[in-house]
Amino acid sequence: MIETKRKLLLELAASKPLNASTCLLTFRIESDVAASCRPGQFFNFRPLDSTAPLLRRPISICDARPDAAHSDAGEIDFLVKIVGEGTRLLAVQAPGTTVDVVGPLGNPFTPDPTRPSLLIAGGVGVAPLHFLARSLPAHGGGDAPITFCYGARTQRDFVLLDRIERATSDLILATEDGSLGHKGLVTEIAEPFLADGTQIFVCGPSPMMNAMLPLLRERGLTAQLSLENQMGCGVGACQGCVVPGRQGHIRVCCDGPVVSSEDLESVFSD
Amino acid sequence: MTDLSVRIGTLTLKNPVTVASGTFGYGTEFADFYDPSRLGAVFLKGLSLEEREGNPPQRLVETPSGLLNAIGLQNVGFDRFVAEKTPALEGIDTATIANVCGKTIEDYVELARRLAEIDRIDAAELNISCPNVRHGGMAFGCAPDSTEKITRAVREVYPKPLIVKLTPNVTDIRDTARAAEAGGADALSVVNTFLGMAIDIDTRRPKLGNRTGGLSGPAIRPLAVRMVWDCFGAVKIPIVGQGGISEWRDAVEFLLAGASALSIGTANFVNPTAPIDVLEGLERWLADQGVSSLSEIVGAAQAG
Ligand SMILES: Cc1cc2nc3c(=O)[nH]c(=O)nc-3n(C[C@H](O)[C@H](O)[C@H](O)COP(=O)(O)OP(=O)(O)OC[C@H]3O[C@@H](n4cnc5c(N)ncnc54)[C@H](O)[C@@H]3O)c2cc1C
Ligand SMILES: Cc1cc2nc3c(=O)[nH]c(=O)nc-3n(C[C@H](O)[C@H](O)[C@H](O)COP(=O)(O)O)c2cc1C
Ligand code: FES
Repeated sequence: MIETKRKLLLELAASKPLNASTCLLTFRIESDVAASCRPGQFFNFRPLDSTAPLLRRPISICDARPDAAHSDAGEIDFLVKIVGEGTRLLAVQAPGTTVDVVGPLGNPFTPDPTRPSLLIAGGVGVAPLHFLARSLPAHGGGDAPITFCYGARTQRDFVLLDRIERATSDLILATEDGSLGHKGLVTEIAEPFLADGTQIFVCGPSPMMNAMLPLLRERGLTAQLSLENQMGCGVGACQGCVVPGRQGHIRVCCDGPVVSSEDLESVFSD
Repeated sequence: MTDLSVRIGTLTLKNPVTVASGTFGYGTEFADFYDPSRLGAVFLKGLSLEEREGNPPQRLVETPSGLLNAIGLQNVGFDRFVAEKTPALEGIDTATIANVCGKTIEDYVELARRLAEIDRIDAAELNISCPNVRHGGMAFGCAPDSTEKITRAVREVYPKPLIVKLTPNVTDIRDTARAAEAGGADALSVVNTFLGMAIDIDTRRPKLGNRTGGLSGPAIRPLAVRMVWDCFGAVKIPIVGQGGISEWRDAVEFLLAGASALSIGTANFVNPTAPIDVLEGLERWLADQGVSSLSEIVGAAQAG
């Protein structure tokens, strides 16, 4: 396994709009790099070979598929939600374009394949949890069940539902407006599944993760949470991406993005 | 082949391309991308006697072609620096330079005294230009008399090459440049970040946890080039030019303005191989131009 960070020019193989603001980008990548990617890790994308926007944009790995037979025929997927200029520039790239990325970066999820899993996703936080679900053995069919709770504002915001369904034993949805699944928050549908012995993984907007923390604490449970913040270097050199943690500052790019809920008093949002 | 070596006091850099303090960590963070031994020097993250927590987040804000930072000199402090960070520097075959910070003159002097004992640290850069700390930092670097006083005080205890890093947040940088030279500096770093601010119009609050921050990146390049130009005319000691250098053309511009060496800062974040790309581009350009020694072009834009 290669654990080297690399600067790569990836060729965009396909760009698929999934809804008004989100698209799925598939790039060609060398199989050994794809094989070295771990769920929870991310790549840092340079939106344009220009100075504006200046910095790279971190995007989680949504799936990585090495091709055992062909060293150069691996594929890697990213889910991009357009929130500003950087993500817009990524979403409008045409297939065949090459994009400058650095990765894989960051501290991944550390699942135990023998234990039942509870994955709790909000919004675009579904991307790393999709990859995690796909990489757990048995794809939900084995002895250790994978329960996937997924929340969105409204039905149209859900993406990759069929893929997630295939990778998990149980997919439970919540929408804030009640247009699909439970009407309410994803934390509410996840609550009944919070149990001893289940490993818990969470990725979503900070209000959602902040709502999870007391639920976990009341039950004496810990979860692996994936954090977000503005990044500078992406490799642990600048201390720019820190968020407050119980033992001092946490660098999201390399101490995270995946951290234990025990390390946080609350999830930072700027 | 052009002679790329640069002298700073008693230290000879193998080439003029260095990496700027605070953007390259403790020297090893970019080692996956290239061997840092290829650099002319590594300026290490700002160091203080005691460990520092730094400023509360948010610490970074992107601005048009620029970056505002308010890290606040988060660092491990001298003892942990020696115990945990210097061993890894043994594997890097180039000059490693400590960036010295403090709240009082006594802090700077004491840290410099201790650093002088550390073999692996080849030189010290006096950071009297950090805009992100309340005490010390830029306060010393804003006036010529305090610049000269602190430089002289450190000079007395620090026998290795001493570089003073100037702040651009002054009326006339030539005054502080001369003061640092008079205090005994072997070289100047020109320049540190420009004090700036960004406000979130939704929350109506400054975006940075520290409210103000230091602006770096391509946005400041013309300002920094002008300051290098001014300093070149004011002092005889070499200048380490920096401010928005992203590619080899920018490096050439700084050399022509009067810099003898260059530091790459923010560009490391955009392109992790930026320093090596700059070095290779510079080598090609110098060869194409038939330049036999770097000194031929340092300040050449000022001729005539
Ligand atoms: C480790 C990590 C993994 C990530 N994974 C993904 C991913 O898989 N897919 C994806 O689409 N995004 C992901 N993000 C978020 C993504 O990096 C940002 O949305 C992006 O950098 C914004 O850039 P921009 O130029 O489009 O917007 P900017 O111009 O930088 O910001 C535009 C507006 O969006 C807001 N904004 C900034 N960041 C976010 C954010 N994270 N969420 C919501 N609003 C934001 C800003 O405050 C601003 O108001 C991840 C972030 C991190 C740190
Ligand atoms: C995130 C960040 C951290 C920095 N930390 C330091 C520091 O600790 N000490 C220092 O002297 N300068 C520090 N600087 C300033 C840089 O060393 C450099 O002088 C400045 O950024 C201008 O160069 P650039 O435009 O190439 O980045 C920092 C800059 C940035 C962007
Ligand atoms: S982005 Fe530089 S330390 Fe995390």
